[in-house]
Amino acid sequence: MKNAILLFILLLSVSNVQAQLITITEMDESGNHRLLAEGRQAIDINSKLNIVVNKNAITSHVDSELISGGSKAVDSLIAKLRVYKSFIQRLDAAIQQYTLLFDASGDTVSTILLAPILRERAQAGQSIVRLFPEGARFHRRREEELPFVAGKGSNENFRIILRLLAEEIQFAENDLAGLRKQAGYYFQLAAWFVSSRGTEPLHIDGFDELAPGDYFHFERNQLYLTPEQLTELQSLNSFFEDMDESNVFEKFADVLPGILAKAIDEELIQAQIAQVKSNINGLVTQARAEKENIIARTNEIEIKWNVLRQDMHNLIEKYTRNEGATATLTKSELLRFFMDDITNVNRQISTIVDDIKGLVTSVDFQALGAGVNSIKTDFTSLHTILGKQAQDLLGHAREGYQFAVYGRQINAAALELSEEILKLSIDNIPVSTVLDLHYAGKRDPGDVLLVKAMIWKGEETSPVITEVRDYPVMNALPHIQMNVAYSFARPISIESNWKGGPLVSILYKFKSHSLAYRNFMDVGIGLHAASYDFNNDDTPEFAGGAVLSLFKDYLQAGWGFNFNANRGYWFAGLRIPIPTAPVSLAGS
Amino acid sequence: MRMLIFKTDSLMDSKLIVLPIDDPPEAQAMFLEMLDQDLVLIVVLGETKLAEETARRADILTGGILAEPRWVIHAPIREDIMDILITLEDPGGLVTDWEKPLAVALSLTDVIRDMIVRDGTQPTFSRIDDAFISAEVD
Repeated sequence: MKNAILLFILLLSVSNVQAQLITITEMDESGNHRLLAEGRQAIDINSKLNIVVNKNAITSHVDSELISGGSKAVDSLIAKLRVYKSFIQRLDAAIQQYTLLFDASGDTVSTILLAPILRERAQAGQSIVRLFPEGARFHRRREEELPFVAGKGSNENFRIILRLLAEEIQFAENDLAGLRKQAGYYFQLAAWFVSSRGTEPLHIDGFDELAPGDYFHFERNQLYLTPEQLTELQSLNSFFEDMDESNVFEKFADVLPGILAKAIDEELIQAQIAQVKSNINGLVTQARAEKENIIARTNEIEIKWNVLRQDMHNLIEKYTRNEGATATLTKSELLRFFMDDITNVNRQISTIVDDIKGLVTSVDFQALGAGVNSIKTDFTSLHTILGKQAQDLLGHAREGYQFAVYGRQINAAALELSEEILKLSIDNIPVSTVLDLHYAGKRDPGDVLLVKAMIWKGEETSPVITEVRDYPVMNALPHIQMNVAYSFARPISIESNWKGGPLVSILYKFKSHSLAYRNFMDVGIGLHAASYDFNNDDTPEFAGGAVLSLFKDYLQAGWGFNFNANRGYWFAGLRIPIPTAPVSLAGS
Repeated sequence: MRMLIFKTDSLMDSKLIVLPIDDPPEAQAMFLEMLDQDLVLIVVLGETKLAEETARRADILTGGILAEPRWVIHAPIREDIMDILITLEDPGGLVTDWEKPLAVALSLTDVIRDMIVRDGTQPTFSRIDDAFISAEVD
């Protein structure tokens, strides 16, 4: 068995050229293990990650680097290992076949069946023995081992050949390791947690000397209404007057205006337009008509720019005050409207860019005489700035959209490696480690864990190979969530208007590792308790029943029974946008 | 011909058949009986210490399991079986002079596939195992 394991490991060592450097498995609080095969994948907020370093893949990558760098010694060792691998596989299979022949059911073995299997085993063994010259270590070791095969069956003689070849592979591996060490390759594994506090490095046992982060358990066990929810419940009747939607879109209130404000450098463009105008007005030229033409068209561009500026200000104002959200109930709608607005702004910029381009290509600048070059340069510069900023605007907007749907976006290349991240030689890399998210400090759904594995060479300033994984964290396990809502109920079997009243629901949320699902659909089923006045006697009645929720519980509907009025009802309700705490079914 | 081998894990103390030295017909009969079965044989010739040690080593290398085809025959008086030996197929022309071999390896079909030369030195375990392997390749 031990030999089989050794053999397996050795075989792996020569077959991992394209494999990933690390294999990460999520262990969630319910005890489930999930292989995280993709580069970006949502994980539960309280999970542990088991990180296995694929040392064979690392050495294979390094070997490929060495070969591409012209190392003939490595090339020859790898070629030798490949040959050994094929021989070892053949003999191993032949030994197994021979064993199976005698292990198969029945009392006899036909020699007709035996002959080819015997031949295959012998040929496989012979081809290995002949690999090594007389006097070689392989032969000396074989002579040492053979006297002890008595009573072990003839397969043992071939297992010795197998073991000795495995030893030879190990020797070749050691030689390779020596060459790798000589070339100065080393490995680093680092992790960061990206939250509202910014980006913080995380400690990984065995890979750095960082201190462990603060312990924090994302608490899902709040099967009660928070004080804020209770206050909200008391004032439900004035819900529609008092409703403040800022909470609904709190994530976006900061992001959306920022996207608009930061993407377009208004001052720079304004200055550029002023310079163009100044230069063209100051131009002394005989070609008066041409100059007038340019001035007129520049003025048109300036007018369009001023309209665009005003629109931009309006949009920034609109999204800062969340006016953009007043007509919407879901984040997806808000985002859609925002993207529409961005597209309009982008279209306006494109029109101006086209105008400038048209101006530059249609005007006969040569006719203007001296000083023409600076004006042409000014226009080209304005054209470039606007074009780039239009691109930036769309880029930032898309980033904002992705942030909402998939969590934070990270520029992995910009993350700095602390001095405390150990530089591990290939021989000293720990086989595995566990990264416990509990030690990532306070965190919220949508934050991101980022893991980066790197192979470096000597003093080079950038890694030879980098593998990045980022994992948005979310409340992925099944959990229960309490909500308050304002609902409208329609009594069954009587002619009655819709009756409004407060409602508390306890909702079961299904397991999901999709951020988009959690942020938008997030279906829940459960029970509700409500208070209506079916009798119109100004005395609240107690009612309760089943509820189904959609769109992150903003829309709830179901059936219930008014116990005081002794009557069933259908209802539909809207969740009041206040934060609630979900409850995990799996956690303590 | 032995078309079927009875499966057994029975271990034998020895899979070495030493032919009698004082009864040539019996030696021939025993040798023929072994050839008649589908076995991979090392036939050691001579009564020297080297021959005895070679037969002992070959016996170890059989693995000792009864059902397996590896067996060893030691013919201390090579002349007793010479009439049979010279009739064996030798497609490789390994034996040109029957005074030279210390041992020969015979395949399942009784073809000479290897010859260990008698040169005054003790054949190693590896050399004898290689002879078995050569006979099994057939």
